[in-house]
Amino acid sequence: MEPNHTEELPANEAKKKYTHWDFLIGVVLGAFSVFIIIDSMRMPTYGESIYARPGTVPIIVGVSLLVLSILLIVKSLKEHKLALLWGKLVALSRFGDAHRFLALTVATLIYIALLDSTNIHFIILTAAFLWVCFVFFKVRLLVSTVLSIVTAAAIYGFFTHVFTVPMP
Amino acid sequence: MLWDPGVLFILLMGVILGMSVGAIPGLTATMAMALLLSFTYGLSTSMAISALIGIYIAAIYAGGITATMINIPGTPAAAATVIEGFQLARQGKGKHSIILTTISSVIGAVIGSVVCYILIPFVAYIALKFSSWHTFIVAITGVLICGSLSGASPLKGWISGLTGIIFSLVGIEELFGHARFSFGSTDLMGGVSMLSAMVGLFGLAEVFHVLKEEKPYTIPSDLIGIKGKAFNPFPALKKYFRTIIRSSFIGMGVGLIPGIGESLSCWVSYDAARRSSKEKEKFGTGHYEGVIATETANNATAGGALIPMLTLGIPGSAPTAILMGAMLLHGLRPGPLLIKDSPGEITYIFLLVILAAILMGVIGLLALKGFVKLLSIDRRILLPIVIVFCVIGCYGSKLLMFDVWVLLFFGVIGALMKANDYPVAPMVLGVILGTLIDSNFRFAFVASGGSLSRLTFDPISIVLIIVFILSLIYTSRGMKGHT
Repeated sequence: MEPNHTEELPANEAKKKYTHWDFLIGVVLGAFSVFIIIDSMRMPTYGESIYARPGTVPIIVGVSLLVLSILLIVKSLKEHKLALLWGKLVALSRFGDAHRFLALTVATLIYIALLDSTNIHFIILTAAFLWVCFVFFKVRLLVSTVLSIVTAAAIYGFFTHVFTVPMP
Repeated sequence: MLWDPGVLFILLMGVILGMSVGAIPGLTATMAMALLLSFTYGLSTSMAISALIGIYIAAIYAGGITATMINIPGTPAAAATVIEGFQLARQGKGKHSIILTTISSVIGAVIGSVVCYILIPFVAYIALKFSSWHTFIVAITGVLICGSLSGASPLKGWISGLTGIIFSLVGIEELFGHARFSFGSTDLMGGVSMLSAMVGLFGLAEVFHVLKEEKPYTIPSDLIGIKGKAFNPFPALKKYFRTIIRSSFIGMGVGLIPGIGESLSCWVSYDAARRSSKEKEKFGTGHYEGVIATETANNATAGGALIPMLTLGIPGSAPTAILMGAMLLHGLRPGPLLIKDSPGEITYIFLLVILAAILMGVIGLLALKGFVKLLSIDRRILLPIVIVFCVIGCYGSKLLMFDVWVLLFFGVIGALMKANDYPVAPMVLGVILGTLIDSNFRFAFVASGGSLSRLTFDPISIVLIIVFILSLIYTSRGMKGHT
């Protein structure tokens, strides 16, 4: 199974299947499914059959999701007292390496945004993105520089000349 | 025709290309086939079809290699292989998983093709009987099964699957052209790209999830057993012979249902293997039977998916839709008249599938060390490059940057899901099958005049509904067991 952080928690916490995050996820999903249901109910009916309405399947799925969200909230409350839940939500104990995740997400977001909105060449942007990633993850500087440029150029050449796929 | 050196060479090139594409997360068999379609226009009909079939068969197989080595299925068909294959790699048995993947894929493709070819007239008859309602039940059962199997908690799996279905409903719906959940955005009216969702959830999410660790794991090539004692797969293949046969038939059966494809057959087969196994407790810990079940089924699906395409003119999966496009380009018309007008073409295509599978097996085993060395590269170098492939793959399908943003969205969602033990595979399946579920459900009721009884009281419906209810009961028991 996927590596997780249960080994960092006390033994009785590690055995629990539903965490404080599941409570929050249940609340968010519950709100999301309510939104889906309400929006779907506003969709028009074409013809006479209500089953063929555009909103029919979203309503069914939304209701099912709402039921499961409530079940999730109940199960996480069974395993964790409500007072403790709020404290732990702040602690980010389930995602202790958040700064690396955030850094990589932001780097990817900037890379995609620059590809979308500027005329900077694909090779330059890709090489820069790879270089930043390699350096951030502590790959040696010379290796990072050479590898990022070579990889970006190779990818560009392969896709544009072999597959004839235009690059962003 | 089949033994023409030019055809064989093109088939070999197709297999190598398919393996390369299938093994790179972010690229899919469908994309490779679509890109090459324009090249095939200049080739003869037999060469064009052989190239595309080579890519199709090999790409489905190669997805299982990355599933084993880096926990990212190269194609959705290998999503279930991740469960057992990656565990085997972490135990130093990655070579075992890859060898079993290779041989199971060959066996699945060959059995699938031979049996389907023999049963074409009967199978085409059943395929014709399959209505929208039946397709709806199969698809929703598939998402349910996937949800219950792919994580420790069926509840989280079902939440993941249903959320995927909701995402798939964004955009203009098929029946009346109404724009759902688009909020006036023309980008959202185009819907959520299935490819972006798949690549984001399987590829980008895994990259984010792994690289957030201070020391991302790496599976060195010597750890997976490349050096040292050779692995003999035949005892395992003999022991799980019934699983192979059952998985082949499951793959063929799922492939017959238009629009469903390999992404579901691997899960149905894995579920069936786990339920009927005498070693149920070993599933999820790196069990050979699990790898055999999924990889046999997903390649057997190719044989099944060809039948509705060839006999009815309805593609069984996205790759067969591309293949159908190539056939139309070259003047062949798949459909009921093909059997009458060009029966030799049908025989030729099935023989190509068998030959492609054999070539794939030989090259796969010979190239094993190369694959392993490539995929054993330090994750800090390999995974940022995977991000670039994911971006290119998503942009390349429709040349829209919006699809790349969707990729990032699903990548972040997927990483958060993984961190909280929510399986991503059901969400991918929900996105893939969601519009099928929606449109078939509504078509069925329109066709029956709104009558549920007319839909449910036919033999196929009754069987499918019983399977659905039994799946629900069985997986609910699994959910209670987890609390």
